[in-house]
Amino acid sequence: MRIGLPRALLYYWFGPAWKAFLQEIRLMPVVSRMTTKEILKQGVRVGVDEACLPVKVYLGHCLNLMSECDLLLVPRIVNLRKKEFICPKFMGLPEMVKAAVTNEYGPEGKERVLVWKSEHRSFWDAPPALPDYLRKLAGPGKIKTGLHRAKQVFREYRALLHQGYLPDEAEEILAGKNVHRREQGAAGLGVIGHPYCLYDHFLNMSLLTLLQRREYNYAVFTPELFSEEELSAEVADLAKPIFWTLGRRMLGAVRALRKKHVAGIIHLAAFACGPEALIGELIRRECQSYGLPLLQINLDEHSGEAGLLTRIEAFLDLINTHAHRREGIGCG
Amino acid sequence: MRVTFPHMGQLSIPVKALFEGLGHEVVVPPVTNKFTFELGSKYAPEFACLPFKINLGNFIEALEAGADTVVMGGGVGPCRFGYYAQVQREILQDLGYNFQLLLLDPPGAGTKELSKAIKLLAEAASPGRILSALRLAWVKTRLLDEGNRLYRMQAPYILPDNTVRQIYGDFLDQIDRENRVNRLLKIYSTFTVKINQLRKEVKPKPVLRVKIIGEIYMVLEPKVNFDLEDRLSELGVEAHRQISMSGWVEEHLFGVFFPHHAKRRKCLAKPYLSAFVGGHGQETVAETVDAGVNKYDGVIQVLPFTCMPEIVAQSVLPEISRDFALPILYLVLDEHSAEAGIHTRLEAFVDLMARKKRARDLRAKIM
Repeated sequence: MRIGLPRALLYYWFGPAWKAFLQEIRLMPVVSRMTTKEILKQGVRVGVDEACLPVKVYLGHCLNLMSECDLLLVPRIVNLRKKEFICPKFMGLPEMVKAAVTNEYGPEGKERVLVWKSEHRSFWDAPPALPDYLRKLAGPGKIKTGLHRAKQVFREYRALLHQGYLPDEAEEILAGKNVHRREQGAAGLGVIGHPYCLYDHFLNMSLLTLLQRREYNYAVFTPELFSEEELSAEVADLAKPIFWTLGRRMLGAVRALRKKHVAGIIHLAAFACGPEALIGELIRRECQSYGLPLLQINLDEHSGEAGLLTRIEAFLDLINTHAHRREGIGCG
Repeated sequence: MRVTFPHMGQLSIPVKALFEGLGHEVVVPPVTNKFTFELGSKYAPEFACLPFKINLGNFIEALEAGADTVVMGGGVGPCRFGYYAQVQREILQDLGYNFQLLLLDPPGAGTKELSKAIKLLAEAASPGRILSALRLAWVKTRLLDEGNRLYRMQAPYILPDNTVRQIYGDFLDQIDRENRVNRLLKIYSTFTVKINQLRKEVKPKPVLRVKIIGEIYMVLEPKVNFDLEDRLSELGVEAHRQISMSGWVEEHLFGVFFPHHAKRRKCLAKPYLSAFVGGHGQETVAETVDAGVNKYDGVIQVLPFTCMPEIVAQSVLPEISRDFALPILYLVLDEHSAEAGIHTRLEAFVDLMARKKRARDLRAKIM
């Protein structure tokens, strides 16, 4: 049986582990291909008008997968850590997918959506969180070994991201392929944002690889390069802890990046992203107080490559002048 | 301390009574106006939701009027309201205001800020005084909610006659000014008698029943939803809403004693949205189902642009609408919304419901 896994949202966080789990219980995972213009268009068509860009992308992936798989596995991710959340939309994601699928395929479409309810601590240790259908299909023993395997793969995957591999590279390494380490320049540049903005090559027009290319030649740092402990230690002094995991990691990353003496920070946000509206404001203030150059980019369905490139280039020029001025050369 | 707080519908009446009862001077921010909108959207982050911006505008206006302490609610997420105060504090500090912000976090969000706020607010008052201030505020809240409910039920029948408006206005005024509990109860009973008397005098006419759902601030604050409830009353529509100030206090602060709110929400929403999604997302779904079951003529969802919980709710509402043949109007509002546009949509929606009702009644007669 083919089970569809949309390559969007927290696939960039959990993906390979979900895949390993399905393989272990003898099901065939079908991962949607990289986001394309068509996928995005489909998502925009079926999504609620006000939904944020990443959710629309997710819906597009779901619809795209429906014809290639028998069942669709949609996670209901409540939180990644105790007392924290990601965003309300992750908690209501299955309902949003069901509504979109019903629109396209009628009531039968809805039956093909399986919901995996994942909560803090219950990611790999709680079989009851799995959809009943899968549990009946595989039996308790297989489920247990499957989850065990998933946990293992998840650790390996996160470790690879931690070493600086991009999610698609990490996936290839896990699949046993050889991946060359990309050469990184000397000057560091921070790129922060939610994983699905940073690692979706279509949405950000391959910004990460672009910055590492020869003409720019930056060493790119993302929040994934820091360990969870490091990031939470950085923001431990906040009067009230930030209760959005990804937002907390981003603010923590800004503080950690400053210690790494990066030349500047690029913040990729998605259009209409809720938490980002407030966290972005805090990040802006934080960078201002450090005198750290910051570029905040809102990605939306209309982003044109030329516009994005121009802004990036202008920003990099600015960083260079900034650096030269600090060293006392270049501007006389 | 010169205390201020954000507006939300009639909230300023009980909150003012509470802080005055605790012995503080209260600076009520000017009623939300165009300038509040401008201030808020100028200094708030672009994609913050509308309540954030209006709150910020209220604070700026109140600080200009001489307040030195801002009292704000908090939350535990995932709705953005829980982190409003932290960002607003930074913005106001950058604007150069000298003030302290007291955060009333619900239990569960860590007690550091809450205990500090309670200590500063209650230090001047004796326990007896605190209790009576709380009681007074609570009675006012309840009476305002009840009064509003009654007014919305009866006004559409009476309305071209303007006395009913005047009676309601006087009632709000009196509740605001009176500080003795027994007198408050008397004001309320006189109000009910007057309204019911007026109702008896007019000829009965057919009216539509509509449920207002959505995000609590947008539902309760007439200045941001363009007097939605008044407008509906004028159009001859009974506007009902489950969301109210007292309901919020009961569910979120004393949920242990009032478990029926949460039970109602979960039960009704279960077939469509089984998970909690923050804010009033699940309530919105539950109340729509309730409106469908009880054969309301329509539902109006009011939400600020980019509101996360309401967007989740919005994506399942079409299904409920289909299942119960229930018309739904979505009003997504931000600082750019214009009164004429909203009112036109409202009138069109009322026309639609009226036509549907006529057709249904006719069908019933023939059968």
